[in-house]
Amino acid sequence: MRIGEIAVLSSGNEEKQLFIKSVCEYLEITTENITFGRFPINEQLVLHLYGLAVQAESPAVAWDLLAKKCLGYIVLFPWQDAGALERLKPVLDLLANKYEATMVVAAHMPEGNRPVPPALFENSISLTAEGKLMFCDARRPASARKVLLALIDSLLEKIA
Amino acid sequence: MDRKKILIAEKEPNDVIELRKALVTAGYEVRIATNGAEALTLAESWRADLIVAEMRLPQMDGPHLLHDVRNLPALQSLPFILTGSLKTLEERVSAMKLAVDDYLQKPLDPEETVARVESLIREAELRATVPDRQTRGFGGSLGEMSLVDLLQTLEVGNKTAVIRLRHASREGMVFITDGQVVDALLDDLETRRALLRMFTWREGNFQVEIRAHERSRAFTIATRDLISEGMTRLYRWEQLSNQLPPLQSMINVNGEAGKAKLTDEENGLLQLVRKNGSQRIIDLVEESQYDDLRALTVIKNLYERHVLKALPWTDNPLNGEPRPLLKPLQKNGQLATDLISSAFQATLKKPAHAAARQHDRRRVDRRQDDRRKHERRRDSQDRDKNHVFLNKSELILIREKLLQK
Repeated sequence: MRIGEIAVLSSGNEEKQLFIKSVCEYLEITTENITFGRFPINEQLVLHLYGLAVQAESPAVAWDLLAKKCLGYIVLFPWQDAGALERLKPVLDLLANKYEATMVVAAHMPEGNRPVPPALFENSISLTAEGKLMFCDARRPASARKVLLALIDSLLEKIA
Repeated sequence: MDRKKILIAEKEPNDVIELRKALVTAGYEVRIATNGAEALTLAESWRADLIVAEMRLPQMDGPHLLHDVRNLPALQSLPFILTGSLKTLEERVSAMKLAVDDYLQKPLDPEETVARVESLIREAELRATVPDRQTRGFGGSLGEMSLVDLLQTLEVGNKTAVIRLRHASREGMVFITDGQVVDALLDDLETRRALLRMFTWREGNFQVEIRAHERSRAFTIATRDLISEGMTRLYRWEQLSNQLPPLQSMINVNGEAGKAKLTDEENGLLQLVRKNGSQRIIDLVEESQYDDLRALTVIKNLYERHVLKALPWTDNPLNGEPRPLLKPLQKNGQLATDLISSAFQATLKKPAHAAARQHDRRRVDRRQDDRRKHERRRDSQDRDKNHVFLNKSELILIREKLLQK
């Protein structure tokens, strides 16, 4: 069995749980700040999604554990919480500078809410060589999968 | 200068001989403790500047040592690196919960470990010299995030804040309580007019301070309605702007226009142009006594009738234009991205220690480059033997699966 691991990091518990549940249909492990879901591709290949809540008081957690093994990272934050992205900054910094990791930053915003026009849910926008920005509704499987798709596309671009 | 003290907690001192040597060579003073209890005592009495501790230590394991260190006031911000060889998901999950500054998988690479130690020491020094910010908030360009966007964001987040807006030489303030606009200040304009005027500011910058204030409610109209009015004004402003040269263009009276029949408003505005000579359209709007939308409408009418002429405008990308990075969003009508963009920009900037000497920086840069090379080398070795890095065809399979669903 081949396994690809993806870390889903968020400022709180809710977004990463919603996201992984949307992609994987059900959650296999849920602890206080870790969520785990499995997304089978075929009999030989499976994606493992690890959801981690980034604690404000300990932003520099042991990312090495995942960085050495992860295909890429999805960083989620609630659009309406201006401070959430601030709390995730150390993680973004670490991922970009230390690991040069492939990542997609997704602003979770339930669809229909202003000020994001629907078209923005459809496409990702490249902000750095390794990072893309998207808006998503983590509750909706189709929207969450688009974020995952953007990450896979980034990985494909990287190895092209 | 005092040498920084590194405490290594390792049950097998022979395993860290190379690391010790590398740290001493890099200019650190090093001591080794062979169990957790000894490490805790030494950390306090010897006043260590950083601890590198193994997960599995006799008497008191690494996580317990970390816990005790964090509970001692004198040591609670001491940089702490855990080392180990964790394999199972459970081990990884529990390590994730620790308030550790860094984690290194064993066997340790001395060079990489020294680079991490240097980085954490520098961060700790920086923390010690920078006082905590009393005010939280964010700032950016009004071209990327208008007042409407800011009010929407703060309303959804139910925030209490003060927004400062700067446009040309003017500065306005908007006071928000629990997401609701309570007051606005701009020159000596009446509250509502002050707010309406600032809605169309698309040049300049803003600063949002997330903090309490003492303003009481001066608005009788609901914030949602204000935002709606702001959006209408912004829409109308952009419509008018599209019918004119860029608002940064210089404008002047057309000497060949003859004697056109003008309204009082038009005459008033022309007098201002004649008095000031060539000036930017946006400055003319600001200087006029009329409401900004009205002023722009009058300018548009005069321009269409060739009473005013625009001077050739050079397309300077810094002249109020958004950064190319954000253009796709603007094209889609989305203006509120400065916060995200600045976060990304921050990821590209390395924290620099103000007091670091230049040769120190070069040395650290060299080390970081070496470390990255080392990591890439090790990653590529991992990729060969580790099942978690997938190849192109597997990624394509995942892509197809995601598209099917």
